[in-house]
Amino acid sequence: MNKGKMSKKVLSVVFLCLVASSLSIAQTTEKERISGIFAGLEFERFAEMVENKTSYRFFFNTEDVNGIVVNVNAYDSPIEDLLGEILKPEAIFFTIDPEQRIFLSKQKRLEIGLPADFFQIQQDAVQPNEIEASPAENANQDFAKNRLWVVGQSNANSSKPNASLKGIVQSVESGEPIIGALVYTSGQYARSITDESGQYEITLPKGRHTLIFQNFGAYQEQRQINLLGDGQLDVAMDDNIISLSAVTVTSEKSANIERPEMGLASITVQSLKKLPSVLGEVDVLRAVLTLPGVKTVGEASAGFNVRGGAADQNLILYNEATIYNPTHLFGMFSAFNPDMIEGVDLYKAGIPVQFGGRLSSVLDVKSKFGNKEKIQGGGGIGLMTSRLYLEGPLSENSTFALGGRGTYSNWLFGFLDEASGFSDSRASFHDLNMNFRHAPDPNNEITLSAYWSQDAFRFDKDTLYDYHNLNLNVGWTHFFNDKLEGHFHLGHDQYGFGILSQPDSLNAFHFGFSMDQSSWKNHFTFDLNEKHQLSFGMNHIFYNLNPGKQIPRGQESIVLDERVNREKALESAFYIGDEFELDPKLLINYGLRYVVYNYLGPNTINQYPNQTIRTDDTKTGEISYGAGEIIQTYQGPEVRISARYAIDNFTSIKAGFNTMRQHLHMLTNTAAIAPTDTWKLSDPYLRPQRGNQFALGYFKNFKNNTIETSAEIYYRKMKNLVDFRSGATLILNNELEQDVLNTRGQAYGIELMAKKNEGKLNGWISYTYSRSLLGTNPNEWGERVNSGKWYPSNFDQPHDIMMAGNFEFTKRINTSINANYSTGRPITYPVAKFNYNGSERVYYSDRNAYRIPDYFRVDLSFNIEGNHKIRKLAHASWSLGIYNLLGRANPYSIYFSPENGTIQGYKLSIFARPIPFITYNFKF
Amino acid sequence: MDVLLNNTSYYIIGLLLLTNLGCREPFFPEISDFEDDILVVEGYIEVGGGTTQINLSGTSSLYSEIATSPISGGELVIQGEKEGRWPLQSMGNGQYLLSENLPENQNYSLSIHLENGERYLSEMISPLISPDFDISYTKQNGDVQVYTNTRGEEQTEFFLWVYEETWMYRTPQISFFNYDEASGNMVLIDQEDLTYRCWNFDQSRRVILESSARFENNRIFQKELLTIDSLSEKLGIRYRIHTRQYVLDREAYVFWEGIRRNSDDIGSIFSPLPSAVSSNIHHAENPDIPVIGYISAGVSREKELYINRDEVSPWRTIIGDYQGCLIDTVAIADYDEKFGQGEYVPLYEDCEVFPCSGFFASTTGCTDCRIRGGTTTKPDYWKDE
Repeated sequence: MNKGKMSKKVLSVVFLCLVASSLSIAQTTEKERISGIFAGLEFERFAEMVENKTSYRFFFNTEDVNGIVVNVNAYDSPIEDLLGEILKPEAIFFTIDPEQRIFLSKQKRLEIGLPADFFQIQQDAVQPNEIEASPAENANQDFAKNRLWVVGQSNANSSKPNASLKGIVQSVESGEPIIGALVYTSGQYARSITDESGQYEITLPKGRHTLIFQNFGAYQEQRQINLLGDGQLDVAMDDNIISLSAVTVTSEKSANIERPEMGLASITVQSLKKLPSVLGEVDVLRAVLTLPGVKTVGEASAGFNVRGGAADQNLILYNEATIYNPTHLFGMFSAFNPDMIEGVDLYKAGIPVQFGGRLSSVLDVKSKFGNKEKIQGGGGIGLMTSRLYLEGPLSENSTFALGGRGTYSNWLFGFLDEASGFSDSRASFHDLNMNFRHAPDPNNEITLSAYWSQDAFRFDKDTLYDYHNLNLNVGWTHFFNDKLEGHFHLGHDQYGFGILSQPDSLNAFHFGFSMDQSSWKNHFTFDLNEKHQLSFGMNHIFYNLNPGKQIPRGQESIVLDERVNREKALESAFYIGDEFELDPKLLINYGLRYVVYNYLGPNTINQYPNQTIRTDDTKTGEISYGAGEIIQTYQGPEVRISARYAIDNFTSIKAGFNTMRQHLHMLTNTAAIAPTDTWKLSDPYLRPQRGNQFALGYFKNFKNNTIETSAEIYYRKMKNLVDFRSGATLILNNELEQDVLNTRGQAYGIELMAKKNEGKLNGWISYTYSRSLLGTNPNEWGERVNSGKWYPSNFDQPHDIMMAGNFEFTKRINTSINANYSTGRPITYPVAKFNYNGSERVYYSDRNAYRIPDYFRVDLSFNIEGNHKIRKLAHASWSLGIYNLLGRANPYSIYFSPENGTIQGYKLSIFARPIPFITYNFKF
Repeated sequence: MDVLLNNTSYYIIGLLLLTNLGCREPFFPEISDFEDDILVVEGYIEVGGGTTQINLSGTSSLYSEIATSPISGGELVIQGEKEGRWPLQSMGNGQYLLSENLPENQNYSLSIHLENGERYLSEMISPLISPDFDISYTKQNGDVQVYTNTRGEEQTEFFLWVYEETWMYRTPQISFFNYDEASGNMVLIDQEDLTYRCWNFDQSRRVILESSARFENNRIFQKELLTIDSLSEKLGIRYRIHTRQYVLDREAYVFWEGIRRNSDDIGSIFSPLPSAVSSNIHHAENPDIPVIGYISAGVSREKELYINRDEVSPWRTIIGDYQGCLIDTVAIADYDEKFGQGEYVPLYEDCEVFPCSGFFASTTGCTDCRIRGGTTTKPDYWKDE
């Protein structure tokens, strides 16, 4: 074969297809930079010099470059910049392939499509070293990267033009599967994302491909393959121990264009650790708050609001267990131990069909199950808390991870002056995690996960508060065959709080609230064919609520033994969803979820005539139901549709619509989540909350996916929200239906975001305009808030700007800065005063008619890593910084109270000063 | 469950102390002027022989200096559902009184006709008879707590208490003489004109509410009315608390609970949103015009309790105003200069060495108890030991 002649012909074809993808491929590989003065050189000479200095190789027609004189000064410049400068005036195009080959061409019109016989030609033309794919080769990554891997048997299924490639992507260091890595090729729309076991499957035309494995926010790996038929290719790639290419909070790279879901934000642990924290604790919930569309009513409140929804409308999952109170210490810390977390996904829209039960969002926190290689551990020592974790293999097939956290804040109270009245205060918390995974064979995996957290605090000797979360669950994943995967889950979640009050022996009592839920889920994914991937299954949750009981404490107590009737219900959901790839451009993910909710006996239900206000006076009687009897059934479908249309590799449009139902309501009439808020199930009077959301988004990436931009708009409608009559008592109330105001809601907004993922300086900026409005249902017979008009909800903060920047001084020192501005939250102000019962009182405006001053805060943090010598007892790092750098006293609340008989206004700030923090972290 | 709600407001205080980083500072947000003057109606229709008192006032703007703006000159009439019509007598200063015996066995309504022509009418109010109750006190950690104890029934489960306090206090020195500047003589003051002993007054400002339904046998035991802090002057000599107990219906209880919450519970992190406070009085033509206040009817009960200093002994009293009180002596030659200008007041003659060399002297602040707001006139109700 005349190689020289042939290559030119082939190269022009190669050129055709590579130009289109060069932007995406060339720059993501490790880049060599060029320095030097190239003055008055002929292009051929210049090319020679570059080839001598670098691994780039030039391919061109000598005629094309004749007469070009190079005059450039380069200092550490990328080759693209230099070539652009040199070749653009000459109307010569260049492209660089992953193997550092540079192709020049004079052709102007470029076609993106591939000639049908392209791969055939290429295969014949280029004959690099062919090596049978073998896992051992993975060890040498550089070697592996540049070899041609032949996959499959050429004679098998020879009639089919395509072949399916499968494999597992795992970490070089730990051997753990890498989840969520994107697998794609140049020039093809085919994509795959590795699942929880690191598996991917991609269907490609037979022939040669450059397969790229992108682990989000970390390394990229690539393989040259020659696909002859169906086959397998496992890949080991660098995990992101210390992020060499730093990525902060990230919607999945490239996936933001590819995936049909909108409003999905994923946070890696690495990015989590770079965010400035309060008091040195890395915090999942605070990280979530930096995402567009997520707000909070105040700094010390752990509840968050997603796209205008209430705090109880977020489903918070920790290893599939539902967490009802995700906070410690009045909301200052989140209940998740950062060492144990593997990743966090927040779904604001396009909620997958397997999730349900809440109106606004799903926060899916996944924790570690331990690596397979060796026992490892770590921890941190901060000003108020310390933590420790341990993970590793138990046997060949099983791994574990253990973590714990505790506080020693009690000593702080010791410093308080006795006269302050708080020297008797105490506050403490701890949490424990235990995870275990066993994989007896490649087709089965069993996991066991347990979580416990508890808080206890008191402000005087008389009253002790405590609350706890307890979660236990077992999961089994089974691969039935290549196409069908099943996951089975059995779990029990408990949340409860108690108040022990003993001011004197006569009035001593204990108040308790608890809720238990047992759940059974099975979830299947089935690869029907190349175009359809089905997921289906069912969830059953059995709720058993103790809405409140007050028990006298001690023999002498005269407090009544009072119990609100226990509530039980069974919520069952059956769902099926399909990810349907119509063509490479259009991907539709649609599904249906049918929810049946049964409110069960034993219980006693008060009866009222229809069409009237419900009060004690209108109560006509009550009906008792026996155990297990169905008192009320609510059922209905939920629709989930999202679609993506890819305009090109870097641009897509997405749209989505979903409907949701919620049968569990948090009873609160405070702005923030209080530890004494109780939950209530839907009953014959309290109808399930329902909501729907339309969303539309435009996503565009620039500079080879290193800059992502997006614009999303949404509109939500909600009904059967729960509000309360003025003066309603929310606990120990057996006639709650008399105090409930049926409320409707609407929310809309636009979220704009630009993000730079790579480079020494990275970060993002986002702007959100959003509104969240409520209105008492016009059919409500009782009181109508603000005469039934729409009014802003407590978390209606229209303008929100978030900026997060990260700068790496060196690989070991990086600094991040956060800035957040938002409109002040609505508040009800007093507008007039009057005298009543011996004191001056205030008359309040319409609900939420005013706003507290705007919010603005800047945080700064440094992360300093110790050196990374392999042989070292422990790897240490320091994280230090300042929360609220400017010391701005952002008001949490404005309130008025009579002081010596006259009205005085007060502004309350939580963190009114710069707060320095330092935490020492270690790993062994 | 007041205990839950009250204690939640401590969270924030605890939090602030915990971190010592937050802050609370006075703040006056700009509030667009609230034009409408809202009618405020306060009072109780006392049936079965007691005195009914209704007060009318208007709201004032939040930052105004005016404490209260009473509305006088209105015509108030109590109307019986079955029979009777009783106009109230305007006593001025927004106060209206009626001391006739209203029958207990019917419902009542109140109509208000203001001078500006506006008419208001209350809903029908059914009278509720309060059960008997008593008040007690204990001394704990140096403070004295005063409690009320009562027992409710099925129909009388919501209680409201208001109290008035009266106490005696003394100046550290007594001025027995007046200096007559014209004659240069010391004039002995009549016993009844001496100003060393005063009665002072206060009243409940918090809303004190309780529901008996949460207690065994509807028995409310030791519901705190107030705490008298250690060193308080109130228990320095003799103290009286007069408490009135009202029974409320559920709607009225909700109203008072709203007033209480809007005053006590607002502003901390977990405190409830302000309540819209309803009224059982409405504008006759336009129901959208807001009215503040809730009128209940019935028979209230009253109780009084005296506490003497020796009953809580040891009880040390510190009155800040009297901390710097010293006795000086003024020579006869200096009478005009010292007593004439009012700088000093004479106490009694300094005759420790014969002949008397002058007068012991102090200041009005240390001899005239009325300066601190008290009165030297013994209240009619006051019972001496």
